[in-house]
Amino acid sequence: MNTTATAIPFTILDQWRPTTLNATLLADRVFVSAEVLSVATKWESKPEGFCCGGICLPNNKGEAVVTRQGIDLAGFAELIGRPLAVDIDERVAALGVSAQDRGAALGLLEAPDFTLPDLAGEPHSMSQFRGRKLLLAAFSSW
Amino acid sequence: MYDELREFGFAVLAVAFDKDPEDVRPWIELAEPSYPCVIDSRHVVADLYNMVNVPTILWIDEQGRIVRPNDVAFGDNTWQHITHLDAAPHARALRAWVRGEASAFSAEKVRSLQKLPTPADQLARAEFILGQWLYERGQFAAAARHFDRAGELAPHDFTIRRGTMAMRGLDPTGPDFFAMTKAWRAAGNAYYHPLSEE
Repeated sequence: MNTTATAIPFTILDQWRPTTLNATLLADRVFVSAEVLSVATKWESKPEGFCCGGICLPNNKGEAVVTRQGIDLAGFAELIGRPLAVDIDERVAALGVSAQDRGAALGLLEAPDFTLPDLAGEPHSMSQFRGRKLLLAAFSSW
Repeated sequence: MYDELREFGFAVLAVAFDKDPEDVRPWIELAEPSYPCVIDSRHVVADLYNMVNVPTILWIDEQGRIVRPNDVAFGDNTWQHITHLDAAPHARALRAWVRGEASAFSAEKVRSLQKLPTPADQLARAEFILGQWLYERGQFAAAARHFDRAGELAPHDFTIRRGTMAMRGLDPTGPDFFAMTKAWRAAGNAYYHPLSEE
């Protein structure tokens, strides 16, 4: 295996938010610096683990995640419990939302808000219907 | 029905899971709805609400709380010969709720009826994001790999399996779709999951 790694541009999608910065690719694994991780995901690598928005999760995998090559992206995603899809050839990865977070949010029964455009490009938010009874109806042309 | 119920403080928000607004424009222009129809080409709402097929409806009360979780309801019986679902019971229930003649489900009941996503479902959605991102950049073959993977991870999620067919060179309203649903049903699965059958 070629272990001489060079940093190349790689795109990380955090729930669609793209950041393209340098990463190191070794076989099918992606390694990034703490700085790149912070910019791309808002998670900070700290001695005690990974922290974001006042929440810290211990790195119980130690150097298996924070390696000499950098932070192993898949290992990090697993630690914070988020799904990760990777395309090494296209140099892009997508971080999704964990089932636990989605389930917890839906279990609160507070309808998650969103803003999307209509055919004319006019944005509509679900929250603008507060105070009325709302039928949310998903459909498609297919 | 929307126009009839408006005076009771009722609103409708329609969300189209279509990769291209032009695909759904003829449908919206034909229906000429007096309520907003937004385009969700990236299936953001499907992810937020764990929607796995269309049509999917929810009822949300004046305080923004879910009082009827994901359910299957058609606006009319145009496709009843295919779907075997009658639009009337939902229309009756909705009318009664909006007019204040009947209450919606209790929080406890809503929670018992909710289906929450599994880790595989959410990984499928991450694969969908990656596939859609690649598709938007013209990387069609790479996109198809991730759409296929997403469909394997969440075979019950037809917003992925059917919703990405056109992007994989398949026909979502023709033989490819019928072959998919035939295999799905032959394996003992239902294509629609209305709450009335839960």
